Amino acid sequence: MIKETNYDKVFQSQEHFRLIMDSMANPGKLNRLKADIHGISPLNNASILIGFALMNSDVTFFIQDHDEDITDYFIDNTSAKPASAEKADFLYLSGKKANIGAVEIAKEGSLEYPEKGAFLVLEAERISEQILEGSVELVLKGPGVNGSKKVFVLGVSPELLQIVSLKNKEYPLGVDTLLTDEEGQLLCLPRSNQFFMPNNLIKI
Amino acid sequence: MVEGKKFINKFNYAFIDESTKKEIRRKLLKAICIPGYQVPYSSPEMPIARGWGTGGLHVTLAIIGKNDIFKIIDQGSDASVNACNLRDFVQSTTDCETTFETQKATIIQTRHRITEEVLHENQIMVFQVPQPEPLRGVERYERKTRQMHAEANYAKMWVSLYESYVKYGDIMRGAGYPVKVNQRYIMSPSPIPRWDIPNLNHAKCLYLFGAGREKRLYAVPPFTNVEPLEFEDVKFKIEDFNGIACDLSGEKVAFLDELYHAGGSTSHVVNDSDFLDKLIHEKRPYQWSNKYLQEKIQEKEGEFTPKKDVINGK
Repeated sequence: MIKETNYDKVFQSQEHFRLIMDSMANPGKLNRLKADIHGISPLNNASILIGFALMNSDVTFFIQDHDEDITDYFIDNTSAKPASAEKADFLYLSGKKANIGAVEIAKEGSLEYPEKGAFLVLEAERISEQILEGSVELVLKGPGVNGSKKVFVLGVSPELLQIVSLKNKEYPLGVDTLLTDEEGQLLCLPRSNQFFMPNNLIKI
Repeated sequence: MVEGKKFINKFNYAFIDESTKKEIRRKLLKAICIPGYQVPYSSPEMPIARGWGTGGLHVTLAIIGKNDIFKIIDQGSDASVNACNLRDFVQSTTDCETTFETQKATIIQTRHRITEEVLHENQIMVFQVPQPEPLRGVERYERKTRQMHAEANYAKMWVSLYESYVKYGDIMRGAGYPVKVNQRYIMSPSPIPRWDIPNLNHAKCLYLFGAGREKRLYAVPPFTNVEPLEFEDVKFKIEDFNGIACDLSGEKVAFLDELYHAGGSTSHVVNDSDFLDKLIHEKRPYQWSNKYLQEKIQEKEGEFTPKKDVINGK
């Protein structure tokens, strides 16, 4: 059992929530989540800190491939409960194309209660405002973006992002996505945002 | 709880327990993701009665941290009873710095006004909302209003505005004029005057709304379309002070309060206390800029010459 005793549940969760809220209110704005934690492989620390800031015993989560170690880690540290992909409030997925199935069945809420849609925590290798070789270029438009904004995401399959975009087509139904990278950066794609990919993969 | 023995403090940081804070935080994120949609939340017990600003307090206490600088206004004033008491409460439970200065604050809680001074991107404005449901006047049942929002069926609302025009020759809504957010949800902006409504549109700051008694949270993120409801031939208008100036500062382009004196005479003062203080003692602060305000300035150009910095930024 890995218990994150160094993590401050009052002040660090507040600090991280404010950064998450800032990224969610300003899609395309990158924020960095940092804390002195053991973490658990292969999850990015930023993904873990999102869970610590937002999850408690009221919510359920789904871990890709039903990884038991990560499931136990979240139960021990947040008291949240594991659930299947179609019932979970938080879905933790890597950016692989193989995860399309989980995104397709994730909760998208109802027209009366659209907030029941899931949070999708997607793991990337790197997120940047500068061009990265082999990355996907995302152009964001919508509430929170002044005009349009470009972001480059490395390590997430364009097909998977396409499914996320399709999932949000019937707005206000949809999922709210939080992308994290190995350096602790966070990029949010709320369902109100219409993002598109002009070129699939960048070649320099 | 055994005071002084088991716990150092009588209550958790920012009063609300961590588990409830997480719930409010998740709901706030959902509110930001669906601008204008009212998210139901727990609305926990507070040491003030529901309907006295608990919604605003819940939001403030769920987001505030040690490094925040907190300002609170009630009808534009830093000094009214509701603002003073809530300021003391937030300060005593969080130890954060408080201020009267609009530009210095990171979180501004407000009752029924948006500051006269323009807000920037790192600021959050938290509204205390008495009635979050804009359709309540035309439909009494929550189940039905929820369905109307779900289907974006706002026919009854439009009919009520039309009826108001037919009966009285104008849309008779002073405070809390209904708006459409992101071309989807009709939202109650809380009882702010029409003067403030255009400032919700494409603002740089984040607006969060908390209705404690009605247990609803909603939000308007920065750079979001917020349009007041209007007809092609009956347009939305802001308040017209018709050349009246503030008695203390001489200001004509700001939202004014009418004061009644013994003997029946009246006078006017700028409603926003921090803005008024700066007008009197410092240089004129930057004000919001919107097309309605520009029209007012242009209309009055013959009447008086506005100071150059009224038209800020853009």
